[in-house]
Amino acid sequence: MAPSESCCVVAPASGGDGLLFVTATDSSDITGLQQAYRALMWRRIRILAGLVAVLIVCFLTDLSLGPAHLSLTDVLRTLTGGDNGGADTVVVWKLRLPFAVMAILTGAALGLAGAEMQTILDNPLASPFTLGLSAASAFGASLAIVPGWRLPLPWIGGEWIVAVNAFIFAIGAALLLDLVARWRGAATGTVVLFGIALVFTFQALVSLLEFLASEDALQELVFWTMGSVTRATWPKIAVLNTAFSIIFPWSLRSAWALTALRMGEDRAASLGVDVPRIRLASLLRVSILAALAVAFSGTIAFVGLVAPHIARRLLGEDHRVYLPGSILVGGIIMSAAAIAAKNLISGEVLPVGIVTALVGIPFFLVIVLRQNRATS
Amino acid sequence: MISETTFLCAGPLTGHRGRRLVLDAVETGPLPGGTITALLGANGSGKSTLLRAIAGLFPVQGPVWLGPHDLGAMRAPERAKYCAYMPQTLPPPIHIQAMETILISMQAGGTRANDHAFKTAESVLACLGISDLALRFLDELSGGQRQLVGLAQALARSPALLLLDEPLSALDLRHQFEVMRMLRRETEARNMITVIVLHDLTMALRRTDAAVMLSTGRVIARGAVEDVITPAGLSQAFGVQARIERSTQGDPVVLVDGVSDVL
Repeated sequence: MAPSESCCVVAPASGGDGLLFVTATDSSDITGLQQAYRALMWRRIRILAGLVAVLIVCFLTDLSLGPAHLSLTDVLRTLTGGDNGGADTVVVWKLRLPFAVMAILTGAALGLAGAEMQTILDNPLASPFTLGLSAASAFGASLAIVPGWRLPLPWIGGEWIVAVNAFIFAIGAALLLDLVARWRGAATGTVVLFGIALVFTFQALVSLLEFLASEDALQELVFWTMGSVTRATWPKIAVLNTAFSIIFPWSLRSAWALTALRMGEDRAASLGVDVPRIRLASLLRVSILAALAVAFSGTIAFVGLVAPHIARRLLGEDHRVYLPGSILVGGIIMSAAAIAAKNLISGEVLPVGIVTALVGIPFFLVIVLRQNRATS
Repeated sequence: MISETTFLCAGPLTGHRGRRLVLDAVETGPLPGGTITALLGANGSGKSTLLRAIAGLFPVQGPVWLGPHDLGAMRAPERAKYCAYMPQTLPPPIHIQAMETILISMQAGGTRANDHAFKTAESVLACLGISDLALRFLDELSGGQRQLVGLAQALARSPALLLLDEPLSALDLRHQFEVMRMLRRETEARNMITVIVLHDLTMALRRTDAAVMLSTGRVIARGAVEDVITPAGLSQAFGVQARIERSTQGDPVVLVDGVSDVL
């Protein structure tokens, strides 16, 4: 049994563990390739740590800026319990902190939703905003405000009706997208076109409701069409945080399967991945994230699209690092947008959604143009 | 270790796409371990569908047995332990390193990365002569290089049954030759059952043991490859007038002279 000619002739007597390859060299020492691979993993962990650091800097900057002139030390003193007068406490605990936290949570939720959508729909242009999930959620939310439509669930009260409505329409839109994506091998372009159709349809419906709405309700509605974190309250943050804390580990558990799915559906299925189940679970997660983000912060443009692309360039597409990366980048973008929203026009706080849209559109065009070049 | 030779017995398999009958009671016959079987036929004859059906990716009526294991009744994760399938489409140009895709293909079933898995992946890459591609991203590789990586993904899983759909389609001459030689070597060394969809009939004649020839979803010939690839068979399956000659070194060569009127 001398493996003379080949580099990977098997050792048939080595027991039935199923892995038949043995290296020609001594199999106990660590090869250069393995070292290189480990170095690569460490580099990714360092990049993730770097993103966390950037996120913290953004968060602190966001906290220390605003119409009321408070220095970072004032803010930190208030946070740590040092009470130097009622006004500061109110500003920090009721305005600065919830807004800053909500910005990061919304960005993180949209980043994760976008990353998963791009994988399961195999489409670089997929995100809750571009394919109509956000618009659908906004319409669902509007329905709760103007005609007062709601599910017959009496135990859900007040503001949560808005969130439930947003979720119902988000999951509906997501299932429609999935249906189209699986329709006899629908091309990437078809799914995007269908998503754009959804965006326009739901935007038109929201406009219709706005037209029919009373003065007061109109004020409410306009909020959904321009995203903003200024409605953040601690209960809302708690809900989004809870949802995110459940969904993120759930996503990570599917990380291998999702990465396998990137190699093609057939390939993934032949590896033992239950593709329909993975896809459905992922759509459910995406819908919850998108719906909550919209219900609490309105339609935020392009964060869900751009964050996964940046994460992919930085970290590759191994979903164990790509998903956390998308979350961090999403949080950073939203936090930075929130900072910009406060400072672009002095004395005014712009809705964050406007900032992300203006910054996101160039990114969007770059992705589309690069995509064109790759396929032609 | 497999003490006696295992056989793949698939069929009769019948399957529909929409209302159209695409596999009509197709039988492969018993295919023994350590042999390579070619699936041959014109475009749309059902080769790829048959391969996908054996891999459990296309729903069919009929049994697929691998030795004592009823592959047809298994769920995907269990079947994946026995069977590796490489689709006709090349691995997509995604931003993941080649090495990583191989580890994923070994671990998507649930097991964790370990040194053994890494060594296996490494030796498969070396075996295919693409060690230098290990840490390159798939979106930097050419089509042929990605096809080799795809082949490495399948081989690294050490399957009992290896199903390859046109594994040579994007390869240059040298790599075609090397891949077929490597497949022959590995198939024998691991006592693996290898089934390949091939378009290169000369390659099939020289490098495979058995063949199944399909036409419009039916088997028109099966058995030893030299009994299947005959002028009559080629005329029936492809509608061509062809000869099988011997090269000056004594190897068979398929020569096509024209279109036959039979089809």
